[in-house]
Amino acid sequence: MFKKKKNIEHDFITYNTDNAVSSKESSDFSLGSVIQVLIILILTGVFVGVVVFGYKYFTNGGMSEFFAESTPVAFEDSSKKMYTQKEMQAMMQMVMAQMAKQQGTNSVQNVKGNEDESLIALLENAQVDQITDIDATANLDMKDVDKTKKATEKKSGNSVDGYNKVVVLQDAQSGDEMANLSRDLGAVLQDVETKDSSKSKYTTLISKEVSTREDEMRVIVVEVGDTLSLIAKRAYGSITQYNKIINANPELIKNPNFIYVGQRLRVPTI
Amino acid sequence: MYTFRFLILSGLVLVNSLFANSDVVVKITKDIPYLYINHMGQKIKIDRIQDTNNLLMDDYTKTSRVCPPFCINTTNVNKDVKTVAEVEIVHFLRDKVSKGSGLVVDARLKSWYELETIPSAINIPFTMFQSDDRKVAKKVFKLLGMKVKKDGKWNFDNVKELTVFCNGIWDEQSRHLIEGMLKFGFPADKIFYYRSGFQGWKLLGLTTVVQKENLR
Repeated sequence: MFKKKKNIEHDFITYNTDNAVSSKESSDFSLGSVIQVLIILILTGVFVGVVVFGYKYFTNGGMSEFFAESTPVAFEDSSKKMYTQKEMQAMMQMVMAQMAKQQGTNSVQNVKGNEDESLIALLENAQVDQITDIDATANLDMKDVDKTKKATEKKSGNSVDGYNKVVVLQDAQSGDEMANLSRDLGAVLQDVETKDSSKSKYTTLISKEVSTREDEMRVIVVEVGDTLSLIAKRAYGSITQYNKIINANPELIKNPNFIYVGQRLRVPTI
Repeated sequence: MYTFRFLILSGLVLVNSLFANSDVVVKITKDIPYLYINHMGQKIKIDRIQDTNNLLMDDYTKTSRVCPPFCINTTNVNKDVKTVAEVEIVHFLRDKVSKGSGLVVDARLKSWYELETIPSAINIPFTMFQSDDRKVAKKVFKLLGMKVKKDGKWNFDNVKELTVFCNGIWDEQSRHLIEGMLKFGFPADKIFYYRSGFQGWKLLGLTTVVQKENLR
């Protein structure tokens, strides 16, 4: 209040002592600085927005979850309006009810988080002979696993991995000229193969080569709650085989602890 | 003063946009950082792996296979068929494939093709032309734009140009396909042979497409 008064006084004085030249200069200066401040504000706003969005995006592992998580906020700015005591009381009650609700959901989430933590602790301290038991507890939380599976399936429609491979799903029904040509050629090939199933020597040898390649290109998609040992268990049937995964994925050699949901890891059978 | 600040700010914005443009560290050629191509109705961006420390770790780093049959190929498969390399293929994709007058042909078996291939490539396995069946050749050539004249002769005037590849220098599949097509009268000047093949493509970190994933 007092500061404001001072400002007004100051303004008053400067207004009154202004002559034509100085007022022109000062207004020019203020316009430039106002634009500068505005631009800086916008830039910082964008920067903060990008950082927050990026952080949420990476921690949640996807756009859909980011948008799903943002809860709608329905409170209006109450400071502009004066309320009667009754109205205030009603509002307080509403807020209290809302808070109680939130606490309820929070406690549920906490229990879940504790379960996850205990599972992780259990896995970290696991001995080899305990693995089957841990897997049994891990399977209890199938709901979450199913959720991420769906998410990764959606992603795999057109995803690029670290090896610059794009996974495209074959769509026989698309009206694309190239897809039609490919399908027609496929039909001709099938005709040829049914008529004459004999294979030349080179065909059998190159077929053998492709099976080695197939084994080598085997991939596994990282799911929620996965650790390298869990992936090794899924891929090779034993948690002690995680070294194979590290060796086959150069990005893991740098930092073996960093894996993310939806990541495609090579798990060669060799 | 005001205009000076404005100039500095706009300069900063410009510099920033320049940095945004130079995101592509590893370009395909000096002038082409990347390009888009249609693969079975899907738009695929062809670029190279941007990590300059990246190394290949898979089958395409294998140095030795039993020879014969997996021997080092000669430069040319036929004296009339031109041998090409990656830059010609990128230009071929941009100028011919995207306009419908050219096709990149994967001469390998279907299993190879499905596992991983060059974007926009179409599969014509070399086994298609191994028999002496003219009917099969006629069907395939018709699909590629060949017309049958009234007197029954084959007219290749509007046939698509083909760039044929297989696994690369150690693999004979494109040679077999090209020889098979020439046997049935396909014009040699409409065929190009990509000798480095898929291994060469992988070695440069170029984008590949996977149609059937071996998912665990």
